[in-house]
Parts: sequence; structure tokens; C-alpha cells
Amino acid sequence: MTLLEKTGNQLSRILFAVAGAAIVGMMLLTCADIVLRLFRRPIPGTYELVSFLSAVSVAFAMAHTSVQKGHIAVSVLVQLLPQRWQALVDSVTTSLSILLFALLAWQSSLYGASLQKSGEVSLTLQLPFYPFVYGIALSSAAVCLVLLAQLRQHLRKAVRQ
Amino acid sequence: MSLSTIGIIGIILLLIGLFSRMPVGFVMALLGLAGFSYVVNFDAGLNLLARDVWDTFSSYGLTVIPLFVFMGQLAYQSGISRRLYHAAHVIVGNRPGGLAMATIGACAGFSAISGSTNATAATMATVTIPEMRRRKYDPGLATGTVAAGGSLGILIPPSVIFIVYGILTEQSIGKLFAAGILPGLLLCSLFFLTIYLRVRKHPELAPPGPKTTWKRKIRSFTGVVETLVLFAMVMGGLFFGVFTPTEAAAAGAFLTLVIALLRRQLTWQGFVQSLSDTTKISCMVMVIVTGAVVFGHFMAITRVPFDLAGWVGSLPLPPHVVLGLIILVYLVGGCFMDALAMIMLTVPIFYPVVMALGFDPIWFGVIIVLVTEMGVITPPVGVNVYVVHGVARDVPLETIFRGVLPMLLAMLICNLLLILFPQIALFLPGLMK
Repeated sequence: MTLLEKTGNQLSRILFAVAGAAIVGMMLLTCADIVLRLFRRPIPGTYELVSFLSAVSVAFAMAHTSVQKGHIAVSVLVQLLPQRWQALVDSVTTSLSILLFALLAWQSSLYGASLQKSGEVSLTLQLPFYPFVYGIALSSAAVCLVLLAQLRQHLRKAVRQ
Repeated sequence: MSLSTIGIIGIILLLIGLFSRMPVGFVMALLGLAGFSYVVNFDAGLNLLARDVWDTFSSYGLTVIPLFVFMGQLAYQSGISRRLYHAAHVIVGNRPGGLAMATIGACAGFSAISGSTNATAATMATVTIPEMRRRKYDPGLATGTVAAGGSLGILIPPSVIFIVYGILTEQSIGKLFAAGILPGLLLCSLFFLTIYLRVRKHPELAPPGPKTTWKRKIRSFTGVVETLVLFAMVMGGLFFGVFTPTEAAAAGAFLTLVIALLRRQLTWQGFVQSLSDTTKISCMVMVIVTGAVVFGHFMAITRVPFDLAGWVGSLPLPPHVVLGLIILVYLVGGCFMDALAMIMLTVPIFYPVVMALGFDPIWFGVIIVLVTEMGVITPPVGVNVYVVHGVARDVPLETIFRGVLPMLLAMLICNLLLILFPQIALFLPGLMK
């Protein structure tokens, strides 16, 4: 396993653990709100917090889902090709995916910076948006790392045979 | 180049991209970005990408997805699926084909707490196939039954597909859920009938099991009670407006966890496994949804969906013929593509058409869910068939597909009945405020 792969996998696993915790957090927070509502003491800002937690749970899981090839892809046609061609197609599509996530990482950090500058906060709790948008930037960068490692493998397969 | 030409090129590139083994969500996002940038400018495209991703990831409406998925995964890890099957098995197992019917019944039960067709098929396959094989059931009948039974997973609420459809079309998720119940039960009965007729003609396919006493039947019923309670609480709360969908899902997941802990049937490993699977599945779903949102924004500025809707609406064809053509597209598309990806891709295009023809939006949701479900069990990309094959490695794919065929016929009949009598889907939502 190369250093690139190791770093990517480790980082994605840490992020994944945070994502899982966010889902448990969403569940507990929502249930607590339902129960407390019965006593006329709803938790203020549940709506916002659950939305933020959901953003964390999806963004931080992206890299690990890529490591585990958990994203849905249609391989009926490509798998009919000879091995080498398959590796070539995969190299091209993986490069395109890297491009997409690099752009997303870059743009999300810009978007986060602009939200930070304008001081935009949520309605009830006055929580700033920008840390979460930076979170998306970070996790997109992690996806790039994972995909780079995969690209290396595809290229090797394409060249070696 | 005119805007519609750009839009149509975008759709063609999308079709090519989809078959390149690049993740579906990535293809849609990348093409959406490229198309939007081409029409407006690169800066606007990049802006759109960052905003769409943030808005979709942090959308409260979509938080219901991870929570319902979590509920299903917890139910699986804590053995609720096994108890459901056991109950169904004791109650109808001694009749000819009883085990296959029990499988369908258990699938329907599990669908009531799981929102995904693949998860239902995978779960029930692990539980039911070994038992049917032990009783010398025909492998084709056994596997075909589970693969088809899994399709109840997204028809009977909760259902990830209904949630996504509801958000795409701004329809009430509660109403969509309600609309799925009766068609789900209808399909269930049609599956029963199919099995009954098949086994009556070929009794060797399914040897009857030993008789069970009434006492055992009643006692085994306790295995169903927890599922009924869960379903009643979650769906009841939703129908009567006590809960938002997210609250219903959170409460459902929490109650499932409590039941599992009380029964001492959830290990720490099981909990971690269910959470890990949930995180992965919901990330996969959300990435597709996000990709479709970006692509949808590109489509919207090219106005292709609206032009198409206008054009189809002005065709000298009766509405039902147009509807039939749309269903055909879903049937063919569903054979190659995942149900969710298919719906994300086509609903923004067909929905305006169907509305222009004056059909009911909730009813249309039920119809396309049923049709894409048929795709999930037809070759060459019947995902459920592969899932079942993954559990029963020694049964060849062809055998499973052959076992599925009679079930497909049942689904087709269900579809026709729904088109002839839209009330089957619309009766329950009509009762809601």
C-alpha cells in the first residue's frame, strides 16, 4: 500500500466516524425535541442543527464511500471490454471525478470564506454557516486523495498489460 | 447553438457518461457544471456547484433519508427480519408453497420498516433462502420470490424513492407514503396468487411443510407485534400530522434501537455495522440527489424539459398513450439503471409532461415506483437479482431471472389495475388533511 493510499484511507476513515456520529446525533436530537415538546419545552434550533448534522453526515462520508466503491455506477457496458480498455476508461473517468472534486473543494472554500466575511448565521441559534461549508471543502479534498490513489492503480493496470 | 440544442447534447453526453462506470452522481454533477458554465459562464457554474452541494447536503427535507435507512439497518442487525419470517412461516408454512408466501409476507413486513428495495431483498434473502432450500423448494421459485418480494421495500412506506420523488416534485411525503400502502398490499396478494397458481400446477416446486397447531401460530404472532407497533407509531404519527417525516424517521430508528436493546439482540458490533452501512447508503443516495440537482439546474436554463412537456402536450395523442410511452421508457431504462438514479434523472423531464396531461402527481409517483421496480428484477441489470445471487451463490443468474418472470407478470397486472383504478393509490391520501 502506498503512502498516498494510506493517508487517504486513514483520513477518510476518521471523517467517516464523524459522519456516523452525526447520524446518531440527528436521531437523538430529534427524539429529544419530540419528547420535550410534549412538555412545551422544545429544543430551540433543532431544525437548523439537524440540517447541519446532515450536511456533516453526507460530506464526511463521501471519501470512505469512494474507498469502498459504494457509489452507484453502471458497469454493464464497460465490463464487456478487454481488461486493458476497462483500465483506460476507468483512468479517464477517475481523472474527471478528481477534477470535479478539486473544483468543489476550491469553490467550497471560496464560498465558505465569503460566508465568513459576510457573517451569515442561522436564524434561531445564530450559528455561523461557514465552518460547515469548509467541512465540505475538506471532505472533497479527501475524496481527491482517495481517487488519486485509485487513478494510480487504474493507470498501472492500463500500462502494464 | 440554440439553448435546446445544448440541452439535448447535454442529455446525450449524460447517457454516454452514465454507461462509463463513473459514479452516476459524479457524472450528473460534472455535466451540470459544464453545461451551466457553457451557457452562462465558468464562474457562475462553479458558484452553482458549491451552492447546490451545500444546499442539498444541509436540506432538512432530505434528513429523513439517513434516519429511515438507519431504522431498517437496526431492524436487520437486531433480528426483526428473522422473527417476521419465523412468524409467517409458522402461520402459512404447511400449505403448498407456504414458505414462498411466508417469504412475501415477511418481505412486506420488513418493507414497513425499511425504505430500500436492495436492503429488503438482501435481508430477506439471507433469512429465507436457506430455509426454503432445506425444505427442497425449487431454487428458481425460492430466489425469484425473494428478488420480487424485495420490490415491496420501496412501495410500502417508508420508501427512499417516495421521499426523493416528493422532494423533487414538491409533493407531500406523507401523502406519497399513504398512497403506497394499498398498491403494496395489492401487489403482495398478486404475488400470493402467482405462487399459489404455480405450485398448484407444479406441486414438486414446493413440498408442503409439517402441520402446526393453532397454539403455535398464535404464539409465533408475537414476532410480528413489534413490527406492527413500529409501523403504526411511525406511519400513524406521520398521517395524523403529529410528526414531520424526519421526526417520524428519528422516532422509528430510536424505537427500533430500544426494542433491540430490550430484547438484548443488538451487539456493539451489530450497532457499529448498522451505523456504518447507514452512513454509506445515505451518502450514496445524497450524492446522486445532489448530482441530479446540479444537472437539473443546467436543464432548467436550457428549458428542454418545458419545451418537451409543451411538445408532448400538443401531440394529437390521447393522454393514456403518452403515459404508456413514458412507462415504456421507465421499463426499458429500469432494466439498465438503478431505480433511484433513473427517477432522479427522468422525473424532472417527465413530471411537467405528466402534469400537462392532467394526471395526479401522487398517483404518478406510485406508478413510476412500481415500474422502476419491475426494472430492478429484469435482466441485464436487475440489481435485486444480483443481490439475491450474492446470497445464494450456487443458483445461476438465469435460474433466478426465470424464477422472477411470473412475478413480473403479477407486477404488470398490478400496474394495469392502478392505471384503471387510480383510487387504489389515491384513496388513503385522500383521507389525509
